[in-house]
Amino acid sequence: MIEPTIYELSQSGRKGVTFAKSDVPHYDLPTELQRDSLHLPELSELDVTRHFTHLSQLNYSIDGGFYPLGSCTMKYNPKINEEMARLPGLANAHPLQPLVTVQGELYLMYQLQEWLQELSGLHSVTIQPSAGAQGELVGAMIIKKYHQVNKSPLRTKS
Amino acid sequence: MVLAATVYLSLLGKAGFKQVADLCYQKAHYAAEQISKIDGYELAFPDTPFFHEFVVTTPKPVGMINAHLQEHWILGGYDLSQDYPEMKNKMLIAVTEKISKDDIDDLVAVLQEADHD
Repeated sequence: MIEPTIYELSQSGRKGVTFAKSDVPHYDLPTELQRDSLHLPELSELDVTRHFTHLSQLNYSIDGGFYPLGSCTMKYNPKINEEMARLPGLANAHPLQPLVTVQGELYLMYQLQEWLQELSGLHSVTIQPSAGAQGELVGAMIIKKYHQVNKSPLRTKS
Repeated sequence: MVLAATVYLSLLGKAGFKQVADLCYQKAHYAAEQISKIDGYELAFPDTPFFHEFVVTTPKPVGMINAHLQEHWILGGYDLSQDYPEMKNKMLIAVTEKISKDDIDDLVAVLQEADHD
């Protein structure tokens, strides 16, 4: 069953959310800086809910079965992780917050690093790489650096 | 994250997106006006238009102001001297639709109090 695109489902005048009125005095927007058109669809909350639910049902996903993709093999994570990641103190942190106000996040990352090191027995761990391919790049860079530092005689290609 | 943004924009639609932008604009301009009325504070770029972020010149280093704000459980604006060393005492403030008039009034009250230390 093909799901229509969101623009095909759009009906003029519909909207999915309502905002409270402004609670501050009014300030005029400079008319010369205002745009006169906006290419966004118009749907009710129900339309949006059904559309994205239909799309999700067309997908194969980790909740449905195993999918090995190489470095990006999807791992099953306990559902409690979803709740923990959404704790307001973690989910609402701002990237520009002063370090003194994100000590909890830093502690979590440091602890994870320490546990991974202990479990693997490796010398060091970094959790800075974002995903599989980036992790592989870091690994290749470490190997290159190792050979440079050790002046490995068999490595002639730089 | 892209999926979340898509769903968000789908729910807002044309009308909602305009509303959210307008709320950001109105609240940011109220904040700018109220803050610039405090002794020692002024808008760094008073003649140029802004959407929802503006820079204020502070009477003391931004770090000191933010330390005071933190005692009152307010996360202050961004210290621009961290990125632009020549911009000392310049604080970048962003206001969105999630900020209420009361939040802004509280900030102004605490800033006014900081000035008297």
